Amino acid sequence: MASPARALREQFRDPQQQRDTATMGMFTFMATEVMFFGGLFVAFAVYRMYYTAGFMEGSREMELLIGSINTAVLFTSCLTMSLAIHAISIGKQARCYWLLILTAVIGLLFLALKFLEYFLHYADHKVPGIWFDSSSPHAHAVQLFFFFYFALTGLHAIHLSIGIGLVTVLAFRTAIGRFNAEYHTPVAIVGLYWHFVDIIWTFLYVIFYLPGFR
Amino acid sequence: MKEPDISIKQYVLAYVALLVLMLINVGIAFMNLGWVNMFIALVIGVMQVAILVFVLMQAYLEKTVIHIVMGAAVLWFLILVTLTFADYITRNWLPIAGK
Amino acid sequence: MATKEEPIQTVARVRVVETPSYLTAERGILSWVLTTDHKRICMLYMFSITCFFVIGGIAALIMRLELLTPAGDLVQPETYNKLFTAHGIIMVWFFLIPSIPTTLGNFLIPQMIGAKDVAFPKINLGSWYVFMIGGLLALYAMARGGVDTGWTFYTPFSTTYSTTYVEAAAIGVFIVGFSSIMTGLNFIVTIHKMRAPGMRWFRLPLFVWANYATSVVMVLATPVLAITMLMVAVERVFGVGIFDPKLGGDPILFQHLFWFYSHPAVYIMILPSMGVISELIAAFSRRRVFGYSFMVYSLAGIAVVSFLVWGHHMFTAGISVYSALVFSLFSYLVAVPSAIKVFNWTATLYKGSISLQTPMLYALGFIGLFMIGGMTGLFVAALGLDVHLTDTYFVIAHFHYIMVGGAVMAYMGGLHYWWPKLSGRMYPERLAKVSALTIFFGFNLTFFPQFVLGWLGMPRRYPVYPPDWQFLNILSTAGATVLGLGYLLPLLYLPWSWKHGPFAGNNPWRSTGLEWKNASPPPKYNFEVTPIVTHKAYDYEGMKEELRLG
Repeated sequence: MASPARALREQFRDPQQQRDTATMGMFTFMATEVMFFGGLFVAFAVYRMYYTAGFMEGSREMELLIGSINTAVLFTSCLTMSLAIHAISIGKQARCYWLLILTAVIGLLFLALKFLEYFLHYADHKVPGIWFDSSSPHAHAVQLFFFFYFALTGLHAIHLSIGIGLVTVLAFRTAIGRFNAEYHTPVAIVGLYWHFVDIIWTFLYVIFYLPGFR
Repeated sequence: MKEPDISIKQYVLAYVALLVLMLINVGIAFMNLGWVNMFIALVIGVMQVAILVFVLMQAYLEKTVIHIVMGAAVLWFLILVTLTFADYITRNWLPIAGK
Repeated sequence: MATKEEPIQTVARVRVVETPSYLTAERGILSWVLTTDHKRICMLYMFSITCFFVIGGIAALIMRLELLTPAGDLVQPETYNKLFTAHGIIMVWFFLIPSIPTTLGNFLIPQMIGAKDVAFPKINLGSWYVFMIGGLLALYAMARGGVDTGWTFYTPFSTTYSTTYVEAAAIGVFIVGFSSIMTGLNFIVTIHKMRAPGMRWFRLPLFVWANYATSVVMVLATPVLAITMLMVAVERVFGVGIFDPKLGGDPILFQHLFWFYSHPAVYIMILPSMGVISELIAAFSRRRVFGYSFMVYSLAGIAVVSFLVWGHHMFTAGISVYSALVFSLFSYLVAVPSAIKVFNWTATLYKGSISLQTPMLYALGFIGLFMIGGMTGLFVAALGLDVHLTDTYFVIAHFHYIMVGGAVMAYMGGLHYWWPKLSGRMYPERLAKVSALTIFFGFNLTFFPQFVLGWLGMPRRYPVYPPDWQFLNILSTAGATVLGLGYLLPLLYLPWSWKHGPFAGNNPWRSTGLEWKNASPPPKYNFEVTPIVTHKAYDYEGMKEELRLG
């Protein structure tokens, strides 16, 4: 069984400093991610302003039901993630383990649904660069819309996959006893990342799925 | 880390709030209110993000420097948006081509 | 070699080694390529960026050779395009942006704050590997025939019409951006969380503050570059029309996103240099820096306002006049904190005990050349003047005065100042002075004529020009040759001194600062005992008191 106490790294004076450093590191990283996705959001906003009609049409092509289910799915995974952190902070290693596994599985469910969506768009010939055709008078704008859709949700899916990997590793380490009530910083840090990925999704859902005046 | 300042019950309540907000958002999407639609949708999105940040991430419990980091991220995104749109919105205000 | 003017203490030829230094603590190539010691990572980066500097410099020399004659007779026009693109990409992303932060910053920041290492040593090493991967990809693009878009990758040429290896270069830049982000993140967290007891924020050396400001800019700006380069690559590879007017895209949107990063990027290049200059001026005037708090506020002010000015690169691109006015105003504002810094450096010199060692020569050169570069920036920040000056050699001269006359000279000054700490040896002072003066002279001969050429209307990125301008171009090329020779000398004598220079003591310059309190070269964990800080920075008065009291 690996002992949590040996986790203090060379460069730190005490565990509190290590915790604070890890937390600040993750929040700073999240700030960079805001700017990273932000560039795409701004570009999307500019084109939405120019091609409102075409973008609304693009929104109407979205699978609102699947998207909404996926949003609920991600919120659920955030709940299980928070509950996992809660569990380990009061020393419940087994409960934390199962909640982490559940979080990862729910994340995989999201990816499966997303994959289904992508397939439906492909069948509809709405994948720019690979197979796109549209008979709409706003075809160019619809294509731009779909570029942003695939770029933003694709980047989001990549970030989510990394999160699922991290959560799985955490689950494994919880199972072998690496974390306890005193030391569970990696769980908290990955939790922050996981919630952040959901924050991104919240905005993606709003800008892609909801407009359209069905 | 901190002791669990947020109980399981509070987490579940936050989760329910997130789902309810989502359903409201979907409902409003079926109404045709013009530009207000996007505005309300974004506001509800921001409310959901606030719940995520303050309850599920317990961000309010963090030190001041973390609040500054979060604020800086939002502020810098707004700088990017504002100054870029400052160009796009003010184009063609003059009767001179290309200005 | 100690002479009357040079206050270096030469210890005896035989060194008594107590704790092994960071250089000798572990041996073997694996201990270098898998190191997490910030000082060794500094050396890894120093090696890499020097190689890139040489490659970028060769591209520049070929361009200057072409420009000796008005006709385009040395290289094809397409080749000329590839040369200036290579020069720009390599010098900006693979030399200037990493230069001071990843070498001097990595080496010194933990020591200056009294820490054992940075907050995330493995991420530090990771950043070097990411840098190398990005660099190799960019070099691959050059080797496969080059890229002809300019370092600015303007669309739709880069995304649709160019037939060169744009994707590889764009992805290379995308990757190296993450190296920058990793370094910046590391420094921010290190400076916040790893300071020694008593090292309060306003006791930090200005070098640390400067790198902190730089890191904030890196962390907030670089992600936008990353996403923009990704979009360029995706548009090229998949044929989607994000910036393609035929498909409804807006090329100016690319420019907005590109310059949102690339303007703060130039401040990423100059802020650390300002930090170095503060250290050099203080050390070689033996005085505290005048107006320390205003120096700190200026650094912060520059970092913030630098994000509000990017449109000044687009005045003639087609943005609205109203937004151009806003960008122009902010561009004038951002000059104010820079000017404050120049005044404060000058005030530090006043009544100081000046000694003109090599680092001080570089520092004094910086102040003059940075001032010229900064003031000519005001010319191009004016909307009306910019219509005449944009895309001419005036702009080239302006930014080279800051980048080369400023940033590179600061890097050279810092390299010489901290060389004894890095290597344990002293460089040859007289030869170093000759190089510094050669560089100063060569630089001015290269770039001052370019102000005139730009004013007369010579466009940038052109291999041909009217015969009337040949004389000025010849001067410029002559200067470039002298400048190249000036850079060649340290490239030779610094490695030479590594093995053959006289041993420097712990503190050959008798400077204040925690980095001078340990051995030269320092041990692996920097300090035997964590220092406790009780003095302000640059406490030369206190040092004099201590010496007086015995």
